[in-house]
Amino acid sequence: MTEWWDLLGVPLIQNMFIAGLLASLVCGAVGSLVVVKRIVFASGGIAHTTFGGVGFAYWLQSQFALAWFDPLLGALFFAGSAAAIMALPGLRRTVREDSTIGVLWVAGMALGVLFLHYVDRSKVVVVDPESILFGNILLVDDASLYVIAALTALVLITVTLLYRDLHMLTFDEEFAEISGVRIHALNLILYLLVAVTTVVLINVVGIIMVLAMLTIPATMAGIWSRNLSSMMVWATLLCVIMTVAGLTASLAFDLPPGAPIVLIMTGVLLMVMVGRHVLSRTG
Amino acid sequence: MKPIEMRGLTIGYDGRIMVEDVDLDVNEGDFLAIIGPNGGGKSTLLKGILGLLTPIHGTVTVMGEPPTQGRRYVGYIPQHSSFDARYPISVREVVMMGKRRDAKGLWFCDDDRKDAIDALESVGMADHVDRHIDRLSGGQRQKVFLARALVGRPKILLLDEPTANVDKRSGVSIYDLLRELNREVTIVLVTHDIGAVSSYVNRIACLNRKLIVHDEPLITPDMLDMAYSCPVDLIAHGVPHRMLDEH
Repeated sequence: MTEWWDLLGVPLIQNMFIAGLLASLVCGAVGSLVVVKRIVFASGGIAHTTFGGVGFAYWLQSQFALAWFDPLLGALFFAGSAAAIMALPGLRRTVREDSTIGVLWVAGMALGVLFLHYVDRSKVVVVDPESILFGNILLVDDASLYVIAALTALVLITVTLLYRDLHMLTFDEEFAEISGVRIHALNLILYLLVAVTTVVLINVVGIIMVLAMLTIPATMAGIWSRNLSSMMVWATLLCVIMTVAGLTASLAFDLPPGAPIVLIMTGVLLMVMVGRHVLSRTG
Repeated sequence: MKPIEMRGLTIGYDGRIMVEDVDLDVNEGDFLAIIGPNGGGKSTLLKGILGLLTPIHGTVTVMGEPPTQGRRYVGYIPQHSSFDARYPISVREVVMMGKRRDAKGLWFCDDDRKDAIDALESVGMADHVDRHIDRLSGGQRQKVFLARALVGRPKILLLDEPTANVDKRSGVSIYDLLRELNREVTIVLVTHDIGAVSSYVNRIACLNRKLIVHDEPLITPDMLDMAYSCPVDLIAHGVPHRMLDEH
């Protein structure tokens, strides 16, 4: 009889654990920026537009035989476009930001449904929408893993190179502008970083639960971190531990990986908050 | 070349004019207070000097340059810094952010850290360098923001309601500090607290959409008439010298 831990020898499962570790790296860095800049809702919007991108990629594959147009590429294209629209300075002045986010969020989802409806399934094999939305532990093949690794490297290099400016932008945007930070360009870069990050994360937890990985470890790290860089390091460590735990639970109980990861993160956050509250009252 | 010059400056935002046809020369070494009612355009005028708003008509120059260039000579202390109190950041890091960004460098270096401590020492806050910004009182926080402005070695200090969220004693110590700094830098501050500033400044201007400049720190009846909602009750009660001219 095979036990669940024997599955750890399966290459696709190993890919998933590697993807989880890579995802934790971008979570720590970009998740911290998202939390301190308070663009959690914008990140949720960007993440959900990737559904449209995945549908678009499958549709292109079936309609125009563009086999190279991978769903991850479609997701990147849609998330990047949504990020660019949200960062438009003119739009930010005329439309309330949360309205823009809401519109892009649902439009992306609706486009995904529409594209998937018109995909010719005799020509391409489509991953079932449930796996796209909630994650699937067998979804990361070798090609996807290379894309995820490349995107992770891109995000980490960008954050490292722009750390000082991003720090200023997220702390006090007006002062950053006066000090010579090009805030419109940098805001665009920040949103694009979020877009690339969500594309990495949807492979692990699925589209719906990207926000958990982006916000919960960073929120927890923010409770005790004294500066932004230590918040990033702590968030990464927490994310690694909780993601590995969640993926293991997913294997052991035969669940899609998103749900156990999110519930473990939520549970630990709750314990940290309660523990902190109790400590502050007794100590 | 004057630190700040305005000619026929009209400025506002969202299609609304907040400040109209202002002519103003700020001279080197000035300590100018711009007073006026809330909504009179004080903060808008500062945003014009900082290049955060573009003039509708007229011009403003800072050290002879357009504001987006000239603002590198300006240290700015906002009324409400738009930061999030939960942001994980120490006093030292806040001050280091005042270093000009055109001085390249990916990360802060030891020189930046040393300059931050020097700036904190000059405002008497060096003991708080490792504390979280949220652990400070309103007055201490204002001094940290003053240090953030000073670390960039400005020629002009711009302050927006520096004592608005500060208890009276801290307010006095901030003004004492500014008087000290005024030996080397030109200072422009906006406030509606005319009673407090009048014994420190050398010029007062009253802004209520239009600007009337007075070359002595005196409030004239004309100015009050124009800026009718200036806080009249503050005048000539318990202040060290006469503010209202004979009339």
